[in-house]
Order: sequence, then C-alpha cells, then structure tokens
Amino acid sequence: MKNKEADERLDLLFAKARAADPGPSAREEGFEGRLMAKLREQRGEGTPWYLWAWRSVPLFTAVVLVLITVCGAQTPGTGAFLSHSLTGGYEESTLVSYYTGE
Amino acid sequence: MTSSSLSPEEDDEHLVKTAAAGDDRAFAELVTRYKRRVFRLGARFTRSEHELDDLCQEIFLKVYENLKQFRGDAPFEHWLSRIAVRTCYDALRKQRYEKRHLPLDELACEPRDRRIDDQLSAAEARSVVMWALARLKAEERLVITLMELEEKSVKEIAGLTGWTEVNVKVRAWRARQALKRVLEETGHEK
Repeated sequence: MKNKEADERLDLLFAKARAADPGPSAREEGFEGRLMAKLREQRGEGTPWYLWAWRSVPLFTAVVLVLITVCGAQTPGTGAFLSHSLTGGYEESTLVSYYTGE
Repeated sequence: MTSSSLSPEEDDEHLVKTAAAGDDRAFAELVTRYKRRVFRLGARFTRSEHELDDLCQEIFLKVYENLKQFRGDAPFEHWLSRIAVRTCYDALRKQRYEKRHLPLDELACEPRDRRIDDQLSAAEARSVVMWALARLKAEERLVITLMELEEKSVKEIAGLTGWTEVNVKVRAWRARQALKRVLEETGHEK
C-alpha cells in the first residue's frame, strides 16, 4: 500500500516535471559558429599564416639576440690586436705606437 | 535536384553526404536543424549552461567524425539521437566520478521541504526531480530520464542505448526504487 502511494507520488512528480520544458538555451545562439570554429581548430585550419608569423616574433627576437652576443664575443677588439702584436716580435714599436697614439 | 523537392529525410541524407564530402555549410545546416533537440536532451543531464554547451559541441563533433558511417537505413534524426544519448551517458559517468571528488559544500543545493502534492509547481517539480536524479547511478539516471521525462518506450530506449529490452526494464525498475528511497530519506515522500 505504502509502495503504491510512493509510486503514485513519483508519477505525479514526473508529470509535473514534464510540464516544465527546459526551454531554449541562451547558448543556442551562435552555436553553429562556435562549433565550426572548434571543428576547424581540430582539423588544424584554425590559425592563418600571419598569426603564426606574429606568434614567432619572440622566437626570432631571441635568435637574433643570441647571434649578436656570439658574433660580438668573436670579433677581435683592441685588446686582442695588442696581445697579437706583442707575441709577434714587434713588442717595442707596437708599445711605442700604442702609448703615443700613432 | 533542389533541396525543396526532397522530403525532410532525403534532404537530411543529401546534407549528410554533402557534409561528409567536406562541405562545412551543409554540416552547419544540419546543426541548425537539430540543435534545439540536442540542447533539450542535454539540458536533462547538465548542471549549467556552460556544461550544456560543451556537451552539445561534443555530440555534434562526434556526429561530424562519424558522418561517413551514416548509411541512411534509418532517418538521420534517429542516428543523431543514438549518438546524443550515448554521449550524454558518458558525460553522466564522468559527472559521477567528479561528484565523488567534490567538496560537500558544492553539492549543497538540495530543494528540501518540498512535499510532492498538487500544490507543487512544474518548475519546483523539475528542480526536485533534477536534484533527486543527481543522486542516482549514471545508467539509472539515463533510463529514468528517457522513460519518464522524454516519454520513450522500452524498445526506443533499447535502440538508443544499445541495451537489451530486459536490461532497460530492470534498470528502470531499479532507478524508480532508488528514486523513491532518495525522496523518502530526504522528506519529500511524507
């Protein structure tokens, strides 16, 4: 008897709940656009070449900075020229030139 | 052959073939036609608009991935419904797992002290049902939702879920018992 009543109440609850249709969702608007964008993204078509170029700017900047640093370190400066001259047998004349500024 | 000279089923089939051949506009047209139905079903199993949007996207992405497998034996709508129901079932199982790992405070949204009688409004009844269904197992929630809220027959549910008719009946009976227990324990059934 108690079980029957519980069943009846459950049926009543479902009947009432059915009457409350969820209704259209706000998310339905523009859904196709979002879905197609996701689809393109999955297929790897999402990013055009100019965006990839723009995203690569930090990488290229880093490469350029590294190259500048490496090239700068390898270019012989005044100190390197002086030491080379000192070991080449022209010690005296080189030193005189260096100190007199000739 | 223009689309206006075709029946709705033939028209759908034509759109499916065109979409499967790579025409995105044809697929978008199919989405426009069926999104209301998919959103309506998805709303039965999700807790927020955001979750609903994600679920519907997942359903249509699966449809797109399997377009070439659509043979046209049954209407497109039936084929789509099967994918939708199975994706909802997967989402329910995932929710169940997540719920076990959520702090209790986040689940404290119980519509208590609402007796089930003629005074209960449709909106209140819906929230009580949603609250009680959230306490069932994924398969119980799926079967009772399809049977009682979507008013599908045992045969239809078996077709949608891939379960046998006996299995559907057993699960539906268990779901009703579990639901009665939940409502009784929380004071809705007095």
